[in-house]
Amino acid sequence: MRIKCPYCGERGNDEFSYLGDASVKRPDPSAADASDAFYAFAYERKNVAGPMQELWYHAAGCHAWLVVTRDTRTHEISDVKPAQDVALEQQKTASAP
Amino acid sequence: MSNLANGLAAGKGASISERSDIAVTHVAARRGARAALDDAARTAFGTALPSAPRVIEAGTATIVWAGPDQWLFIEKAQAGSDPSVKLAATFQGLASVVDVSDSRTLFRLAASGPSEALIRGMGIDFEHNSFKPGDVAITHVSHLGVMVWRLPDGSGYEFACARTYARDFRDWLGKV
Amino acid sequence: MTQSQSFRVAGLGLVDRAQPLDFTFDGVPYTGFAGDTLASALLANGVHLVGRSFKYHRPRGILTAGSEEPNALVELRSGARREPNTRATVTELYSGLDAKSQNRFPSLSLDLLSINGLLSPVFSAGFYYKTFMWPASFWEKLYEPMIRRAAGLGRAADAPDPDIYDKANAFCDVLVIGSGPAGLMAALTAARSGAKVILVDENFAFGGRLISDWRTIEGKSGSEWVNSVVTELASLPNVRLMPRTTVFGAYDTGTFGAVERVADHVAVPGPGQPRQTLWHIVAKQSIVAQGSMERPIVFGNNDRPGVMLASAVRSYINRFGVAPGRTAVVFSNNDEAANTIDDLVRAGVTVAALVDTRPMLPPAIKAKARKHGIRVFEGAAVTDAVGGQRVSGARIAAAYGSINNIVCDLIAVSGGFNPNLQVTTHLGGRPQWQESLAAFVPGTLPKGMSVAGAANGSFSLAACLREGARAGANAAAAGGFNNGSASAPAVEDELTEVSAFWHVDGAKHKAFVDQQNDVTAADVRLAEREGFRSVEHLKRYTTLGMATDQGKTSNVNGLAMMAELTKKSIPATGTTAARPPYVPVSLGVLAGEHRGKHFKPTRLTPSHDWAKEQGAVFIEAGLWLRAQYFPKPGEADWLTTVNREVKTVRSAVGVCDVSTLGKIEVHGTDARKFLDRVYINMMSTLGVGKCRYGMMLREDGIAMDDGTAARFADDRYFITTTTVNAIKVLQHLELCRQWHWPDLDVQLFPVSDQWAQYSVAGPRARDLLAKIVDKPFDISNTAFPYMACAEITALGGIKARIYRLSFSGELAFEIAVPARHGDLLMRKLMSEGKEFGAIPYGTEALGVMRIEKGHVGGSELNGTTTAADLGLGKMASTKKDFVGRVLAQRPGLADPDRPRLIGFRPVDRTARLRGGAHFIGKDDQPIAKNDQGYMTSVTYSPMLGHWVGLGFLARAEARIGEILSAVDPVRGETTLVEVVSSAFYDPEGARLRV
Ligand SMILES: [Zn+2]
Repeated sequence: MRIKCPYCGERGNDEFSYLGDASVKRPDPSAADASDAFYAFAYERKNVAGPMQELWYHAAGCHAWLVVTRDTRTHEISDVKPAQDVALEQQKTASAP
Repeated sequence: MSNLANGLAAGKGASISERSDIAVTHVAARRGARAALDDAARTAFGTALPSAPRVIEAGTATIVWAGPDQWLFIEKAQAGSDPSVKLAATFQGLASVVDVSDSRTLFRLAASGPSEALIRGMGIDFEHNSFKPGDVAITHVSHLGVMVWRLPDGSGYEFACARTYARDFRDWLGKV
Repeated sequence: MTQSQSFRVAGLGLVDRAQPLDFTFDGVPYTGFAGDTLASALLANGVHLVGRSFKYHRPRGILTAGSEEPNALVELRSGARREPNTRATVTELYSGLDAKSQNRFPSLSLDLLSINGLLSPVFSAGFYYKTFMWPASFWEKLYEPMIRRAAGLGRAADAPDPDIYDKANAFCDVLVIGSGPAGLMAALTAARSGAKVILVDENFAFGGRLISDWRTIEGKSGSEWVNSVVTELASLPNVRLMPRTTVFGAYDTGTFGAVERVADHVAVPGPGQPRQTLWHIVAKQSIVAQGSMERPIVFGNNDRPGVMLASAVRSYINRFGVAPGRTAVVFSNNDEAANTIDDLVRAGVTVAALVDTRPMLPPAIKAKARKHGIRVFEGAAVTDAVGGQRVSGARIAAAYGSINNIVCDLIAVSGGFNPNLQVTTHLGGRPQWQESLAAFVPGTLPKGMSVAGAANGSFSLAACLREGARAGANAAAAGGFNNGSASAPAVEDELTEVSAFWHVDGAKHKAFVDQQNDVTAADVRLAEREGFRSVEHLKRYTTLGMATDQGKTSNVNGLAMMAELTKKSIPATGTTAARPPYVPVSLGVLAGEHRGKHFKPTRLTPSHDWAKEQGAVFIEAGLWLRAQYFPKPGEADWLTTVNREVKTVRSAVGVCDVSTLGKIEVHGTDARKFLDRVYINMMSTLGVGKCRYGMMLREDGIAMDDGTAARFADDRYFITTTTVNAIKVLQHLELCRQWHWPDLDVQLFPVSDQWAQYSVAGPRARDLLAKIVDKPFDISNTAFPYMACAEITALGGIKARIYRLSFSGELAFEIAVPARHGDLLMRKLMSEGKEFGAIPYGTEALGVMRIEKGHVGGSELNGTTTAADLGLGKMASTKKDFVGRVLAQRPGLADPDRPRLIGFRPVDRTARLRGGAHFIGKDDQPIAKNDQGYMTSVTYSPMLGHWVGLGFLARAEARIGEILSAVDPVRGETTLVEVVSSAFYDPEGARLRV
């Protein structure tokens, strides 16, 4: 499988390491339900059959964390974004009135 | 520094040398300071910093893209002066600056184009028309992390690998 | 038979008769020609019997002329280069080739184990499951050795492989797999358009069927046309031609694995030349043009030497100029029989009969047979081959049941053609059954892949050329190369009719479906009777298709027979998807150069050369080579040395290279905030010029790594990690920085290799360092107290850093200089330290001293322990959030009864402790139920004069003084131990603050 790093270009998957589901975000540690939320964050995962957003790390390249949209049935990758950009975007959306 | 490579010739008329006379500084932009950093670089080096994997010769410094918002500044080492200190002053408040002269070993391969063996050995498309003068890649070869760039004047390639992997990398480079 | 090459046909073939090559088979010398395979050279010499079968030890010959060969497997070469199960049909002949038949005892023609054939009821389908259901111990002692002896294939070499293997990468716009008419046209068309093209063929000669069949294109012979195309391709700079290269697998995103047999066709590779190269090919578009494979018809004794696929017969005649017999019977169900007859006649072989399963042959074929005086049997079948070690006749059942015995030494059989579509199924594509072709054709294709020619079920030459040209033009166009013309040379149309026919009824002898695994038609019937009817069950129960040939000549026949037995259609019965590798791939080529000393990189510390001069003993620690201890002349063993090193450090001063620690610069205006969030303790409150021990957790609350943080400026920290976790911690910090808290202004710089860092420990450490650091820097206890750090210069102007850190519990410093000065600094420390009795110490003494102090190491940070388990629970700040905080508080981890770190000493002070021992109540049974914890680290303490250990024990703090059994079932030892504080030596820590 090959992943197109937004910074480095297309590389073989031997350059990347995989973390997992990018749709789960680190919960608010000060929330009342933090204990349950962190449990879910650490352990609960959907077994997605289809397009899934995943975190990959360009370990042998630029050290960027990436959000990769990959179809788990075909390994087809439809989108790759820098994780930092995605996270900043999410923060902006969350803080918007 | 050990001169692992000096005097050893590579095949096909290319020669490999270890660059031992240089200072290497790692520069990373502070959050939100990229535009101002480019302005400072223009003032100091006459050029903005590359946003893509490219290398720029800027007067006395070679500026190599080293990841998003990161660069290596390669300058000639001079007794009694520390380029990283100067860069830290130049980019004060705009970038974090670390001396990495002893972190990496740089090899220069003088060659107008890649040998067949080098093309085969690299895990990225390294053919003459694919990896062009001024191009940079951070990748790995034979399980060894390496940064590589083609000199902007087309006269060769430079490889930077972590110092403690340089022996193994030099072995590999000698074969290609 | 010994007459040299008496089956070579004058005027035919592409072998180079000017280049004779000597070779031996089972010790007998023969001669062949350059351009031969081992199989063609053996046939040229009349050798048909080449091996014994897997289970029944039946005599076997040469069935095919390609990589699908199930029978002609030989041991090639000898000694360390001995290679079993080499297919003679693809082994390129070279001078001095030395091959042996395998799986025979004592000799090929007299095989005593062929008695297995008489015991065949025992060896029928499912015999493993049925016969060996007795006690498991019987398996190891009785069955396995027996089966290994009786069944099996060749013997692997018993010495290390002396050859080298290489890996290579290639990138292209269009990858063309196969160089028959379709592949050549595809490559030519794509290449002419300017696309970067790679053409691979598993054979050593390009051309596929064009050099194996008698063809004419544009007035040229097939091989002449091939030469003209290959010459043009070779002249183009955008084309890479790769003969002897097998694409063994298709992987995601246009990635292909291929093996190039660089030097398999010579006795010994040239100097520096790899035997094989593993290619990793990345192609934007790929064209599968691998042609088709002929399938046999299943009849009695169809495995006898002399039974050969008709296409192979034509290959041996046309390509190699070899007549595979003197008198042939052609047994077929399709129109290719016409070409087979033509070629046999041209080679001077008498064709005794054409047996066709179809009731009515096309008139043209019938006329051709009549012209050559060939008996024609329509609607008939060969029920059995006659003969033992070689075919001597064919038993033919004619349409109306009459039996005819015809004398022959060759039966050319064809049951139709299976497109070679394996590669199209590697990514999950399912082949589709096409009734008109009686074959599976490729189904859904991976993105960027197309199929052309016979691999697509388009068997005529005209269609191959046409489809190849079109596929080449389309693939090039997909990459933006539009100036290719898709025109193909016109050739005469031909007959390609086939009528499905799988197996013969009324065979008198065993009829083989899978010849390599000795699976018979009766086995398939048995599987059906016993309910193993799905293809997957059929395969597992009978082992059909599970041999090294992956059932290339047997899967479809087996499937069709099962369909017939269950009265279902073939598509309803199943399909034949394949997994990589397409052909067996050697482990050597997968390992490539990464073996022996190149198995992994070796990282050397800055003081390595110096340590080597001192006669240090080194130990591998991950990728590092570290000095373990420094023996002095006269020291009896390592323990004596290590005891001396520890005692000297604790009484004078010692120096240890700790450069292997992971080092990361953490900069930015939010560096303090960031470190607060990744360490369990506060780092924002750390003053500039101070260090602090820190621990990081994983988000699940388990300890991840420990190290120190030093602050050199408000926005500039320097942290260390354990040696093994350097990369893991950086990756974790990058995730935190980029993903969890993207708004923080933090920059990370991995600088592990930048610094040579030495621990200088012992009561005289300050005296020694005072001579090293440049004036006016003051390292007195007041100016530079415990846990201080500073950026200084040393040795007369060298940039340096100094930290007042201690792992040993002594007054200690760590001093760092840029790595290039590391060797100098070590030498200076030793020469300047002489007057204080300075010595170097290694990782062993380092470990002893950390256990004496009760510090945690890798055995305690083992991925199952929390900060509280490690006795560091109080370090965790309650004033902030940090990674792992929330989940560390969940009941399971916060349980006060969890085993906690504590110390142990043997009750009998002369007794030895063992790491890994489990703690059991001293009067309890040593069983899992009574397990209370385990020992993680042990050492002999030279300071205390007995062994000490660290371990985890439930409710540990409350049990100081309790006596337990430390049970080590692995070594069969039980030792009584006393629970004590883990701070064995200087528990008040007075020594390190002086
Ligand atoms: Zn990247």
